[in-house]
Amino acid sequence: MGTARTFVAVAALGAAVAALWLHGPALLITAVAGFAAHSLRSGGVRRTLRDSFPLAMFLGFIAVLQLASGSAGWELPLRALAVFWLAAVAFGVLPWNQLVVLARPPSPFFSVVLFLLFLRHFALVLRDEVRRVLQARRLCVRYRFGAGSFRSLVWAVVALFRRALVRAERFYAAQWLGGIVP
Amino acid sequence: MKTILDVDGLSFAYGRKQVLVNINFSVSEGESLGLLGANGAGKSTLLWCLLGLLRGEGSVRVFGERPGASACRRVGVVFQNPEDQLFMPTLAGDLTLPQLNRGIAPEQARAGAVEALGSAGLAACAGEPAMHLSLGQRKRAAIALALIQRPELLILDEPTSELDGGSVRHLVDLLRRLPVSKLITSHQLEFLAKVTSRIVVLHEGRIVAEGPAEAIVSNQELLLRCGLI
Ligand SMILES: Nc1ncnc2c1ncn2[C@@H]1O[C@H](COP(=O)(O)OP(=O)(O)OP(=O)(O)O)[C@@H](O)[C@H]1O
Ligand SMILES: [Mg+2]
Repeated sequence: MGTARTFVAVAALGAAVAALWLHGPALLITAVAGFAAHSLRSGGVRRTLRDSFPLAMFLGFIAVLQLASGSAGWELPLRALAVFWLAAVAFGVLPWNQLVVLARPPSPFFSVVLFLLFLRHFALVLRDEVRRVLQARRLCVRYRFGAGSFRSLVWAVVALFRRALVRAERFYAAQWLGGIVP
Repeated sequence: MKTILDVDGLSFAYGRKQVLVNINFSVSEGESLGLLGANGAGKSTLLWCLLGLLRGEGSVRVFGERPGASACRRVGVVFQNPEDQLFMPTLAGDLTLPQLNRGIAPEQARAGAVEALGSAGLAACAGEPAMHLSLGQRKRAAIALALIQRPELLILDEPTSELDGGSVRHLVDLLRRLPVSKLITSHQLEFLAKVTSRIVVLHEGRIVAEGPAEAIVSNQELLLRCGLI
């Protein structure tokens, strides 16, 4: 079980790294594969679309800036999405508990595994906080578009940053007290 | 008896907002001290100062040292909101990690984790991530995590919030059996009276009373003044 998962994770990570250099049809195929793998793992296309929503918004914002400077292209956003999907799959299937045991101190890889685990935890924290903030906004704004909706979105993003900071601070404090980080 | 935690003239402000004013108290070895205060009294802030996570004026000594990495290795802590104390993909992993970090062999560490989860009533959740648990279950897991590090001083911030009646009773039994020193914050009078022998009352950032647990929780006038009843 552990070996199969490790294999899938390494393959997904390899593809994510490769996506950084691929162009044209090869990039497109990698992205489609990443999307399919993510959907399979997360339990449906809708889930994948929902999880990609914040990143897609951000990429849309970057695309608008690029358009304004006259240099828009489809490869950068696609590449970002492909890396996101593939990395999410890799992080989801890695047998972390076994990895931690394998890389336990005094192995120099312990901090590498811990770093990846922290990244994973914080990605999940961000995902949860995004869901919470959007839900809270939905409950208090009657229309998704129109009067007040833009301002509430800005405040939602501000709240997200604040919450993320508080969570990061608490997380670091917890790991420091546990003797896990210096 | 040896003093393991000593706070002398501690004051702390968030920016211009003064939250703690001239706090003095100490905890002796083996003692169980309660920190009672209403919402916003400054209990959590005080704990963060004791752990060196916030720095105020005055002096704090934990096992005779300034709060820092080496003193805090001997302290087990459960935050009021423990969601970020657990981050591994499974609860068993969360409880195994600190043991591996201390050089305990993997089999032994895993067995210890399973046992600790069992005695926290979470054996069935060992393979689940903390994010999938209810708040009360997370709190119990965080308490198990604090205990597995074999602390000499246990600091619990509002351990009973989110716990149901049965879990509170279980926690009371556990804490009474535990021979380590404890510092426990709460605004639940009945709970504090059961698990601590002495109580310090915090009101608007100041210590307004200190005494035997029974005397404090039966002082209606004091409790009313501090917004505790
Ligand atoms: N990060 C912060 N920045 C500014 N003020 C803060 C911050 N954290 C807490 N406070 C303020 O400090 C005061 C004490 O807060 P603290 O969380 O220590 O209270 P508490 O006694 O733990 O309350 P509760 O019973 O609700 O947990 C409150 O007035 C609170 O608004
Ligand atoms: Mg508090």
